[in-house]
Amino acid sequence: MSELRRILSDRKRLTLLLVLPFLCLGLYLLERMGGELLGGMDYLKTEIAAYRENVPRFAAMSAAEAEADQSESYWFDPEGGSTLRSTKRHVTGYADYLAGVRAQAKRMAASGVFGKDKNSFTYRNIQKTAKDFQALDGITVEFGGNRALETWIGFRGGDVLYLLAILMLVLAFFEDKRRGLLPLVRACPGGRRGLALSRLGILLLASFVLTLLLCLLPLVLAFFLYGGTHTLSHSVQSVEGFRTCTLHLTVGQWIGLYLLVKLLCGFLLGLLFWFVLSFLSQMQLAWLVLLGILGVEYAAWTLIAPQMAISVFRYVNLFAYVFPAETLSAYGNMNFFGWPVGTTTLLGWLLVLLILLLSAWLLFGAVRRRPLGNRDLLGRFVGLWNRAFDLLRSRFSLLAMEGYKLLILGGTVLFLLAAVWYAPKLRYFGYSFGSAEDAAYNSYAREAAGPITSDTDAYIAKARESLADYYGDAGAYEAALDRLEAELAALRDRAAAGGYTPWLTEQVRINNALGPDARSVHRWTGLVALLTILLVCAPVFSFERKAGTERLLRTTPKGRGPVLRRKYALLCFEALTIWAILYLRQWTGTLDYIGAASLDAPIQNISLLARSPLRVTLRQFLALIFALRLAGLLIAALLIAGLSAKAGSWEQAVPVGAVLLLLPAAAYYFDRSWAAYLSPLPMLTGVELLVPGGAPRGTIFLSAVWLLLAVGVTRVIHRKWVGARSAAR
Amino acid sequence: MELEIKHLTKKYGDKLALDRFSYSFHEGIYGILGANGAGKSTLMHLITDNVGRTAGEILLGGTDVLKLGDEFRKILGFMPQQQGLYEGLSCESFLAYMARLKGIGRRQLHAELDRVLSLTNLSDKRHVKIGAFSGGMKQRTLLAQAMLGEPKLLILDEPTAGLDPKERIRLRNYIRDLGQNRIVLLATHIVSDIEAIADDILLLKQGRIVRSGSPAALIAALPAGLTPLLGGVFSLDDVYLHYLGEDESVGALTERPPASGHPSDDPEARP
Repeated sequence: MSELRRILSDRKRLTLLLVLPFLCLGLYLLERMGGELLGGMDYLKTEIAAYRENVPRFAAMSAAEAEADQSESYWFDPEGGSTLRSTKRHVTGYADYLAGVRAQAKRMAASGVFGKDKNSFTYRNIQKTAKDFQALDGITVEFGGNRALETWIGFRGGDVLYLLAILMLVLAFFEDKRRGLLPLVRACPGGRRGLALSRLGILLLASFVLTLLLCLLPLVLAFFLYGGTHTLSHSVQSVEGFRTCTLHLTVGQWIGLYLLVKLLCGFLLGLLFWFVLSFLSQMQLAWLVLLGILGVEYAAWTLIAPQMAISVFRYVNLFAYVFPAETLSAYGNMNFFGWPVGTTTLLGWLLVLLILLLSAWLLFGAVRRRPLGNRDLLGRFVGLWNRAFDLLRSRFSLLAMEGYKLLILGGTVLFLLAAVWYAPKLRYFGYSFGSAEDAAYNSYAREAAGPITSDTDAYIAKARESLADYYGDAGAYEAALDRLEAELAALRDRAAAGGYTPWLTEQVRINNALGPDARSVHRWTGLVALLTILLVCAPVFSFERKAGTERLLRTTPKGRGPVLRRKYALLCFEALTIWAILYLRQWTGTLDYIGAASLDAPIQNISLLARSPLRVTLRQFLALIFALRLAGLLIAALLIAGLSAKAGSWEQAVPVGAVLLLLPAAAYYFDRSWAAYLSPLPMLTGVELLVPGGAPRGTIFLSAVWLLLAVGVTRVIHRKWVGARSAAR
Repeated sequence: MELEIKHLTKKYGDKLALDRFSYSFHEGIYGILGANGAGKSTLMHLITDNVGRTAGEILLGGTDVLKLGDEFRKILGFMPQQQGLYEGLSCESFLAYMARLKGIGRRQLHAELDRVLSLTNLSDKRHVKIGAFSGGMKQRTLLAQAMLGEPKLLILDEPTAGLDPKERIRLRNYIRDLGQNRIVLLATHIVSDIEAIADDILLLKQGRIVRSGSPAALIAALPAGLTPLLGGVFSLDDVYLHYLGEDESVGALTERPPASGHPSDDPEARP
């Protein structure tokens, strides 16, 4: 009990544990909302209402009727679960599917290729598969709304949080080692086996609690949203994704088994981490080793295909225990020295065996290991690595060293890598849909885009001629060409009045990229950029304060001005890097999407930008937007540097920065227009400041205020860091 | 070279940490002795411009060090009391970084690193991460960085804290050699650290100099009627306790007539 109390007495740890279930439910909901915070909830509500209505309707339909029904529509959800139509198809055809598996097994066994060597793995595998599937004969599959179960199984966020929570707990076991208290603890009567036993108990208890909070809770939410508790009594094979599952269980029993397995998997993962860490003397190294192991295992789990000769590394893998649903829901055999062994069976036995072995080792072996005087093989390796790395580090320039301190010693390179990972998932454009006439109009506009000349008129005339040969209903196309002609006339008139070249552009794509439909997309990217720059730049000064090196640096000739200049150079570099990661791809993507023919148009030709006072082309306008984003990031970096200079550590700077910068930005993201005056987010979107009517009035002038504020903060830091302390008190 | 301090005063709110401190330092070793909170570290941080002064001047060759700025810092080596180090760096990388900050060129860098690592007995630990160092090793690393570039003014705040006796003797002997052609200010509350090596000792109490002079002169100036703390002859410990000791009864308990005082012959102090 006292060990549990010690672990929970850490306020940060306790807060994190309490936040985890909410985070898990939030992630599940976000996934169901297609990753769209803004408007995603409306989508989800619509989807759920339609789904709940469709389930009884499809249940009452015959297979043929269901097949003909095209009313189902799942916008964001192609892989999140099967459609009711496909479920109906699966239920109706399941008996045939089983018969097909048996027939195929017979056919393959009889064929010369597979049947000639009865001792081969392939032959044995065919026989075993047929035998295992025979056990499913007579099983009843029923139609039902399985979306709750399917989305829950497909949700991996909870599993990742589970893994992190277990890792955090195990790291708490090593706090005594990190603080150098292990010799003291071991000298106490209960500091050896008794402590190990209580830690085993805590790990088991934590696995149980985490299973409830991070696995069962999202399932309850899924059932609450989609309904379907009536399917709990159906055989598990009734769910389309369990077609190859050979376990004779109902859905409810399967869920029970899964939760039990998840609990044991959590316990095993904890034991494995504990086992590895017990051999490492340096905690920093321990982190590296753990990250390395997880990285290698994840790569093996994702990159090794089942048919590869090394597929054993895919199945007997740490992540098979992190995401056990895959093993438990699908059938698979592994080549085990020529004999096919079911992956479920093998991983099940391995789970039990490893738990027993590791528990025994930690209880009877590890406690005998003395904390001091052990052979430190890894330490020797690290020594060699440091020696080689020192050759490089000792040649670092001041700028390189500042970069090294911020990115490597401060660990912020991880946030940059996370941004690199996330950037491709960002959406760049909004979507708007129109009638057939709109589609035809867009298609004509795309083809004829460019300066409006006699060639444009000739194109329209030719398009009209070609309609004469059109067999279908050409009404929409004719109307589209009429619209286009009217548009051309209007553009010519406007250009003549405004004194610029008339230009036809594909307005829909420009609207998708810069218009109101893209607002949430730009705000979300801006929010991500703001979060990234906060996390990355927060240690720039606070790192020195936490390390206690600030005073030392100030006593050296280059420790004031030169170091400060390099810190600022680094901040600019970070802002540029984050801009490149999040926006550069968007820039090139936008240029491609809009198309070269429209890019040189004076922006007054575009209805969205007709009122803009800027006399630039669309290409230049886009460059301005992306430059404004870079400026926004630079200003944010300078402001964060101000927070960092005041804070005692990264941990202090980030929450304060989150309150001052992220909260107003989040409020603006959720359309609270007053927040535009409190956040640099409008500047980070760029679009909202430059597109007429984008952001609330006066926001553009606020950008100048943000800039002045950033410059002011920088001057204060400069005075504090470089200036003499004569006036200080 | 002369470092002259005139009426240096520092207040933290209402608390007077240093009160009109005036002294002239020339080449040699100066021990600044005082109990915790006497103002030793404040003096060090004032000289290094890590703390703003309330009043007074610090002059090097007649010019205020604040005006000299980087010119002053080029001749300065500072070892702070707090062990502020980059724990993720190896000892060599840290010292290379500090050398760069001190303007030591690439050509001299490795020779200079070898020199200070050897002086602080850290050569075999140069590639070990500072985070894995003991307190004493961290202390030696801080000392090594202070010695980089052979500064003309060396300010050492509690340099021997956490060192084992062997290392303390080694360090003391090294500092004694250093004092030949530079100013070394050594703040400590450990009397034996400076007794054998300091040319002059300043006794600080509540921000003021209560006594100063060579160890022999300070001992000789002890008032009559005191008894040596450990019997035999008077030592600097007696001076410390008499002027700075919290226990005012030390002097009152003495009954025997004073013996002529000489610095004790500390065997550890021998080279």
